[in-house]
Amino acid sequence: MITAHRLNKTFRLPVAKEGRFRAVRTLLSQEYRTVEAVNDISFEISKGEFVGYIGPNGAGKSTTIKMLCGILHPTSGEVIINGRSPQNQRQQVVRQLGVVFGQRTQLWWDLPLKDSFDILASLYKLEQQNFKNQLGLLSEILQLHEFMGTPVRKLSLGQRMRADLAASLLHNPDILFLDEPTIGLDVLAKKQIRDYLKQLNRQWNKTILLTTHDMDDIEQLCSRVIVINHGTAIYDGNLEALRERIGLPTVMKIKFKDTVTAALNLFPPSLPFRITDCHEQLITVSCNRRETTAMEVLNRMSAFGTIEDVHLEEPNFEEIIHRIY
Amino acid sequence: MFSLTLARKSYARNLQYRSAHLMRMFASVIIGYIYMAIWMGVGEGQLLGDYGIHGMISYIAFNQACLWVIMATNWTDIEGWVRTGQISHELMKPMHFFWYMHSREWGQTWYQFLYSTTPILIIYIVVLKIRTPEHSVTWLWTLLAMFLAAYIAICIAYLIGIAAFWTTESRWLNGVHMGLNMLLSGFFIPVEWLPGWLKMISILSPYPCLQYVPSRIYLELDPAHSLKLSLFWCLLLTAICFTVTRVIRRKVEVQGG
Amino acid sequence: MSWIRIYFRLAGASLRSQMQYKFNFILSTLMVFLMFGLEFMTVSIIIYKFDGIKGWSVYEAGYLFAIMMFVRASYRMIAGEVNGFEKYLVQGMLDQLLLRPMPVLLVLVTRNFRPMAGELVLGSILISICLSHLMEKGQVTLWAIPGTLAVIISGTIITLSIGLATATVGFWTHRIDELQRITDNAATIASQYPLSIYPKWMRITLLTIIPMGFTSYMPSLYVIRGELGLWILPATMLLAAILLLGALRFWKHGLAHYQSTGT
Repeated sequence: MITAHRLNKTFRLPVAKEGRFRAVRTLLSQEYRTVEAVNDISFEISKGEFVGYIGPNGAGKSTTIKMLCGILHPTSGEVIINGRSPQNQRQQVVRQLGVVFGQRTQLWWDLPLKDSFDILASLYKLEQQNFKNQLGLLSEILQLHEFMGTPVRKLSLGQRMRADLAASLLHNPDILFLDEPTIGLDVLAKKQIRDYLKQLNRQWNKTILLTTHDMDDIEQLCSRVIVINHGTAIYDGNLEALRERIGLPTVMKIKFKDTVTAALNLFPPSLPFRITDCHEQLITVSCNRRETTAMEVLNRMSAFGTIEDVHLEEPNFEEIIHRIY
Repeated sequence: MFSLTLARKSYARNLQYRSAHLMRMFASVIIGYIYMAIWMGVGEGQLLGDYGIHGMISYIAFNQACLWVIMATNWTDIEGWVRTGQISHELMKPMHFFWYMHSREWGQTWYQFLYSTTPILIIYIVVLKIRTPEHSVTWLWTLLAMFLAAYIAICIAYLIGIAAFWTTESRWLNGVHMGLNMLLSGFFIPVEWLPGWLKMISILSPYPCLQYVPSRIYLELDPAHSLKLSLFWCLLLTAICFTVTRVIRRKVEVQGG
Repeated sequence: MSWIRIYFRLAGASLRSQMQYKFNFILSTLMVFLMFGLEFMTVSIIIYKFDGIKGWSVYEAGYLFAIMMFVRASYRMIAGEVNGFEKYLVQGMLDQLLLRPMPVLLVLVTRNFRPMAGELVLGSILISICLSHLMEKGQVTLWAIPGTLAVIISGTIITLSIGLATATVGFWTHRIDELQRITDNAATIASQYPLSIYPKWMRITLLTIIPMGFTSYMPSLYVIRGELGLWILPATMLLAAILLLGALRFWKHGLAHYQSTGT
């Protein structure tokens, strides 16, 4: 469905000159340095997959997405979407794509939201009946009714993101590209957006490629992760395998009802986890999930007293990226 | 000293975009040249008053070069601050707001004087052999006239920016100012050739001090004491600016920013 | 046909957006009207006072000026954002336009649609005044009216092509505001007057490298002065068509070099 074959993208950026008469010298001969934003990336995504595309800032995520939807032309390599190249047949390909850039809106800023949908319907030449059904469905799922008549500039970030999502789905595309769809949203709005995305993928069978900085997005949504750093793909597979491959410890903070002391001394050292800290009612445990389960840790720990609360910290995204590189 | 620092900062900021600047200067030289060509066209077989064809070309050339020091842009900042509400913050700076804006703008003006006005004038002097003052003291008076012109322009731009308090946008007001400048300042037509009522309006406005007065002094057609008019407008506009600043200060205090 | 419908749809949306700020919309329309008016006044005062310019009477010169005003206004109306294209390149605003299933240029030109009513009205009035005076003198006949329409159409196409070609250069240089000052502003100002007032190098430039001289001066020579011959009108139209096709090809080529906002 989506094929990226040996994609490369090199940018030419002008070099600022230093010293005397630099203006004149710049006019006469401009020097450029080249930046390899994407370097030999290949992947295939089949129908119904939910792929997370992650990596640190400036790793080449947006550049890849922009090449996939035909905004940028790759320096070499090719993209095929449903048998067509988005570069050569841009207009046909974008008809089958829904694209959301989290930092930008595709809606008409000063007009009521409804107007944006009307305009998009005529842009995509949707039939009136089709459009009505689709919009009805979308506004039900994404709960757009309450602000259909509000100018887009007055929507909250979460509302705007839902509206943008609806706008990208209006022409019923098979494929969704989402660039940072949860950026800047509060916890509740993030959760809402995730639920919608899940539904889109599971029930409507949309193929989704998502870039994000939020590890929770990846964990809750994606069946597959591609990690990119410095323009090169360094991992492609599922999330569990990624975590296992790295073997980063999970940190558990266990709070007891009463003060526990001397746990460190009491504990036999042969266990598959380690107590890293013990302070009044709080014990911090570090365990490798390949060797033990959270349940087992809790079982063992209950020997020290009544457990009141447990806090689980999975290895965070930055650490994973750091490790994998 | 704070003034000087502010001016120096805005001067340094301008230095960064030199190749864009060169292109802009080139465009300015060409546009000035078009205006001269128009005068050469209409002046064929005519006397053109006390200027003569050559004098008229010099007049336009000087005005085109001088234009750069009277294009104050401080109104855009004020307008933006008014819209975002940052203005109350800016008004609290440990310096009178009027002098604060003046200092920032002088850096810009000094930059334009060095890198636009001077080179454009030199290009015209070298390529078109336009007239230069015979008495060296005229250069001094010309500089003073340009200084006063820049001062007046900054005051007008300041008032345009402040107008945003009542109109939210100043852009259109600045457009009107530019249009009036083209017509009334003598930029393109010496004031004495304007038809009766326009001439009257022009003489009663500060516009001639922006271009006509400096240009006539440069061409040694008017004596230095015509600068008294410029000085008068500087003082009057300063007084107006101070009054207006007091009004908006009160407005901001009442509204709480 | 459907492209034209979409054009009006999008232009209408843009107009409605601006109407959200009525006060500003009305004031800025008035301002542009006033600016053009003042500019025209300045020039006409000179030409009137000195009774014509290099053999061109007041009304002939006024005709040229008015044609240029009309052409510039209709160019800005049809494709205003081509003139302000730099922000699309520098801020990566072109991304969104590239995601629409239609030619990018079509989406671009409907952004910030301005009806330019003031200039069009002012231009029409000036052209009618000048033409009626020339007719009274018996210098032109009613045939000048279709001729004038042809000049305006070809002139708009030529101006648009030059503007588009300049904007396209931005795909490589990123900064184009300054270049537009020369090809757009300076060349337009120059074409408001008879080319014969300029020195040879400038005339040649305006007839070859930046062929703005064909927007008003060359065809007007025939329409109001009966010089050259009727052939200049179809020739100008042909030139306009060639320039437009060339500019469109260049634009297409440039799009492939769009860099968005880096990484």
